[in-house]
Amino acid sequence: MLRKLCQKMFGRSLWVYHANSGGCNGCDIEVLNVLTPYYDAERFGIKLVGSPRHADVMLCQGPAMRSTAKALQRAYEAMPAPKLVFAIGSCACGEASGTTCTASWARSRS
Amino acid sequence: MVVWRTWRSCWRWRRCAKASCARSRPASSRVRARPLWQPYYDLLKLLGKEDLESGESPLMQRFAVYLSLATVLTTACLIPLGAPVPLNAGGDAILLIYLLTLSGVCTLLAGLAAGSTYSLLGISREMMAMIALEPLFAVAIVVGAVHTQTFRLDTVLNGAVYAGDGFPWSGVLLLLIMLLSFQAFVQRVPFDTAEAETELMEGPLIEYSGPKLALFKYAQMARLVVHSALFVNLFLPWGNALAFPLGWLWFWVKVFALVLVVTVVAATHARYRIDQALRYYAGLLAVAMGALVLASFGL
Repeated sequence: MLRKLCQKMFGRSLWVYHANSGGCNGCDIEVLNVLTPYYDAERFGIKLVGSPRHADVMLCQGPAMRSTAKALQRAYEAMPAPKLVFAIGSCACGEASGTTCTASWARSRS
Repeated sequence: MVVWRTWRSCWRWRRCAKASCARSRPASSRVRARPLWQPYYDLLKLLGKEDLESGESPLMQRFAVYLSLATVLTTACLIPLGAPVPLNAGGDAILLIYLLTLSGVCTLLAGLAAGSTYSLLGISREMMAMIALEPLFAVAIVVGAVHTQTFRLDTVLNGAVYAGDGFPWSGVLLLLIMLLSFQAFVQRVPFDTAEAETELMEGPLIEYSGPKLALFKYAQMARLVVHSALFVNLFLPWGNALAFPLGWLWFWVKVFALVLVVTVVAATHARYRIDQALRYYAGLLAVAMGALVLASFGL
């Protein structure tokens, strides 16, 4: 019963680790805006944490380039088990029209 | 005037909410209020997560976590919490001083066992704070013991700091010192230099994940309440001896008022730098020593 309760609470308290692998900071500004009291994401239990060990969600921004993909992979492995990855913005989602971003993090995981 | 303005702003807010004045805030913000139980949701979630056992010495890390929680719970069994004390004859004031120090030592152990650079930086700060802070509560307890000439906990933890002859100068001085340093003692925001979230990413706790982090967080939350109860017993004992439901209720009203004050100060202040904090602690320590001298002269 406790295990079920713990699983249920996962959605009520998502701690977010913010990983920027070489983006232009446009998405950073959007993410930080969401965490301010105006939009107040904390009322859903969403909190920014500094260590991937404490995190439930990794927010990936920017293209995962050859030099940064390894670091991203390590940060992902440092997170404890029920974990999610959110790719934010067109660089990370691989939707950018350029060529550098097509092999990005989200695409390589899927 | 103030009442009128408050009423007017309330009225405006209501009208705004009724007319769904959505431009001032996004519509979703009216959906759910911030839950009061969020810390417990966080704890339950952490309990259900994987334990990565990273760090230099997983065995030591496990030991530090259990020791931290056990220390707080033992302290809770030693001091009166509005009801008869479970371990009343189990220890004296000296044991209590040791236990208070041990709760800081657990943080040191946890950080050392994790071995990351951030946690080592965190424990060096924690150690500096401990050297300056731990004597304060010890002085308060010793002053109580000097006044009543005993180390028995039930005597000392009943406002014994005020038990001197005439006006209790040392007791009042210590009450002031403890009010000023209590925030640091429970490691809340203006003085949480060891676990500074934005600089050291929770310092000693950086390598801990899942259930271990949950137990640490729980120990910290429990420490706030237990140390508040200790403060109330030492310095605000009035009315604790009332008949059962009244005395119990009044005790917890005082404890939660103190917890509320700590939380409000934590929410409205910015963190001090470690050197500013240490200078502050050093001043308090000097005054506490003065109070001890006064107590030895029976004042």
